[in-house]
Amino acid sequence: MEEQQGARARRVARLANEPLAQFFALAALIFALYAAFAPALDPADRSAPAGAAKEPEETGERVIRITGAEATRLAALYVAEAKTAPDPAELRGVLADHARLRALAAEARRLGLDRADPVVERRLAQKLRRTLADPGVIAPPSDAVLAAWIAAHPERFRAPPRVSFDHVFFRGDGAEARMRQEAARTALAHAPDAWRDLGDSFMLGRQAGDLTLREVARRFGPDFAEALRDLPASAAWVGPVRSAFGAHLVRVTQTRLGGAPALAVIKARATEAWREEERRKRQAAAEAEVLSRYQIIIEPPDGPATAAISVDGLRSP
Amino acid sequence: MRLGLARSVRLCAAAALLSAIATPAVAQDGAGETADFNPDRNVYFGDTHIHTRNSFDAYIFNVRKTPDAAYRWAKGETVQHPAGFDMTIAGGPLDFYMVTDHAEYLGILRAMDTPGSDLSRVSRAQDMFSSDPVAITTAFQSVGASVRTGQKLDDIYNQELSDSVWAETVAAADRHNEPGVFTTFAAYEYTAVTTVADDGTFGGGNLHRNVFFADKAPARLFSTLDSTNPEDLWDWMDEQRALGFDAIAAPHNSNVSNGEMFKTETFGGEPLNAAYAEQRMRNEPLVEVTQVKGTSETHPSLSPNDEFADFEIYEALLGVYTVSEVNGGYVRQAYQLGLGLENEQGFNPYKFGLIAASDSHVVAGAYTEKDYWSKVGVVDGLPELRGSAPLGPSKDWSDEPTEGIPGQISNNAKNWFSRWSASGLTGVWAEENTRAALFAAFRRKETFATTGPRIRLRFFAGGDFDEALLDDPALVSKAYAGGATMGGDLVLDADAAPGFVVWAQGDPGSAPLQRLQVVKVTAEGERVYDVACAAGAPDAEHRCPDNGASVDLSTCEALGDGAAELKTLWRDPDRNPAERAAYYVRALENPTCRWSTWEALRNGTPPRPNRPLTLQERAYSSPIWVSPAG
Repeated sequence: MEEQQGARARRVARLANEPLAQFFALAALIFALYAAFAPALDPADRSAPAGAAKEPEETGERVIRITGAEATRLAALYVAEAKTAPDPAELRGVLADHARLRALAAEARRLGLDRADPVVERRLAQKLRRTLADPGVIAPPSDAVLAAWIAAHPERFRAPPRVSFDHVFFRGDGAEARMRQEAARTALAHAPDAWRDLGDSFMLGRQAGDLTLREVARRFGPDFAEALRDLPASAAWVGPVRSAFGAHLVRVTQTRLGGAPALAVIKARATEAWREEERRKRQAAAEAEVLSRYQIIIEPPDGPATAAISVDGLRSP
Repeated sequence: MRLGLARSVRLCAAAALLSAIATPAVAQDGAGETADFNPDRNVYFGDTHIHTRNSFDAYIFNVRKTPDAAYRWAKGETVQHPAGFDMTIAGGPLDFYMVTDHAEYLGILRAMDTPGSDLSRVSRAQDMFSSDPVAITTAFQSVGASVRTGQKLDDIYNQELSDSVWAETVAAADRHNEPGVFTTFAAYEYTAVTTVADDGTFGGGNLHRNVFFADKAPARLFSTLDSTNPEDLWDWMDEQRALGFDAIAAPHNSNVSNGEMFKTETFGGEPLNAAYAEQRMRNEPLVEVTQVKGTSETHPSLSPNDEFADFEIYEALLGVYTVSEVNGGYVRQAYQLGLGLENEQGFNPYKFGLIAASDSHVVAGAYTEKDYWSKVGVVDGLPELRGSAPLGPSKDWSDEPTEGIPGQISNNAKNWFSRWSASGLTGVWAEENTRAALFAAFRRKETFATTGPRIRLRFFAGGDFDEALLDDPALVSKAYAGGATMGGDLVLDADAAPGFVVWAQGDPGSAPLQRLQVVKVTAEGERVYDVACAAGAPDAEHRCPDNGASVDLSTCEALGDGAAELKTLWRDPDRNPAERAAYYVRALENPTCRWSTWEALRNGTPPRPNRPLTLQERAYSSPIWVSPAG
């Protein structure tokens, strides 16, 4: 029975490690965690938090000050949302509402209502995460940095090579099909443009224009795309080339090398991708730095601590 | 009374159109301008039903990704799920994609959650984003109830804010639209829901429609807050069309409409008439037949002689566990109903084509069984939450909680999420990948629906098609010239013996094909014919012999052979030249593991009891309607 409860607690703890924050999943966590921890809460813990408080409302003075800068920001938000400037009464209302919220929040903190509240903890952790890797603080890279980064990730930005080709399709692979292929090859050698009347109908057409090899693979299967990779543009018919559906005689009419596009063409997309990678890197590094300042000990559900585990083992979203 | 109100609302909406959004010139599509232009038409795959953070429900599911992220994902980039893992599309980029956020309270929840905003100060916002689960749920349900009843919540309703979010949505679509490469449409979801019990929640029968605009879009949308009657939506669409904003509405999840989607009377209970049929078909030529919330093709109780009808059946009404009324909820039955109306009264309101979509609320559709993430964000973002892995501590299914909030999670998983599907995609036959070419194809219903894989279907019928055509190198152009294709009509003299070209290519990245079927529907009934088989030929009962395909459940490896391509010329053995009939194709793959089986395998736990372990992915074409001349 105890073992089962231990297993359940581990389960809950594992769920709690998932970045679930809202709605039913959130509700489940709150209830489960309350069930797990609420009985252990000592009422004496519910006193005002100790430590260096910086906000005026945390110094015991019980002053709520809405600064001029804050009032300006709130007024600007009003304009952004209502599409019109607040009149003096509306502005007073906005500021008073805000002050009321701040005062109630300050009092709630004085009473310790923020302590051992899993939602507050989760919210604080989320806020810290956002602070640690706020995309807003990532300045765009210089062209040189961006170019170097693109060069280091060529596969992400290289324009894919494209190919245009005509093909004659043959279903099946029996002797009869091979004979028909051979006859068609002979015919094409004499009259290269007679191809439209040869072979079997192919569902996706007999001409393919300016396709990436990935698209060729999607339409014909990977083996066919692989075979086309090395075929030069030429007036000659080659093959048979096998596809997912049968055999094809192929005439490559045009190839376009891919290669690195000009920076100007991909700058916006590359900047976005660089930012995303940078954001993830900074977030991971900042979190690792915070965690390194904590000794994290995870005890088994029953009994004393047997080992402290490394933070490297903790999953971060 | 309601109608009068709706009319005046429409007048206001029409007035708002005077300031229509100007679409930039990047979307100027001219026929024949792209390299892959093909007069015999190419096939393009896409998803017509995607939600982002701007949908009121998606925001509560912790979705924070934008329409831009949605389009980037469809083009092949990796995007993060709200539960923290990466999502990348299997099988390469899609050809087209539509963001269809709910029009109701579009963008409002995000504003309610923006510290310092006016909307964040209303008590409903403080409840919604509080730490009290009861307050959160109550506030969220109050918004859902408002969407259902059409009664605006004055404290959070802000049409100008929603208009500006819509303008951003349209701009994102225009930014990502690239003729010849990737097509987007300005689109949204109209979220009508029937009332089954007025309990202050969203719960009810689904009458949702996705509305997508041909190119330019109006500045203000028509939502259930204007009218909850879908027929008023059609009136509005007719007005928009007259103003230059052509659009198509596609209903979805008729399977959970409580039998209200395909009725024999109007929304208001009046008899159907020719004007109704004409207006419905002008505005709703397509129906989404498969998506994450199950398949709406047919139901085993409606098609007892179709042994493949029991496929990803989902029956819970929205937001509740109540089972939906079957009658009136499935497209095959609607085809039959429409043919009966046409025979008796000369009009058919149910002559629609078929499309498919995901309805994903996490900007990215989960189309493949092997890599599934369902659709409601953090609510079902993990196997335990969607019921493919046990929520209880044991490694089997013996101790699932049934009470308390974990019980609520497991009940939702049991009744909803574990019954959802990794589906689907729309295939479109069009000359090139542009808005103009794709929209014209949607309009003529030259579309087919798949449950995820990129199976390709072609389907033609002609009065003088014969076996020789099948081997003709110019089959496609001759079939287009001499007959009808999916979505079209074929009118025949009594002495004609029509031939059907039925043709499918399997997805090279998925399982091979097992059989090709034609479903025939008349006013009197239905019949399913196997017409081409991976192994052997159909027997006297029109069924393929077993091709021996199976799945190794210990690895999910698919075993046995199938066909890369199936192609045949078929004639209806039961043809009655005097009767109207609708014919559509259904192509079935060999069996593969269902998503829940893949997840159980990876989790090292047994699959949830009473769910299918395997399924046969499939594709459905739009029908060809054959009718006697005169």
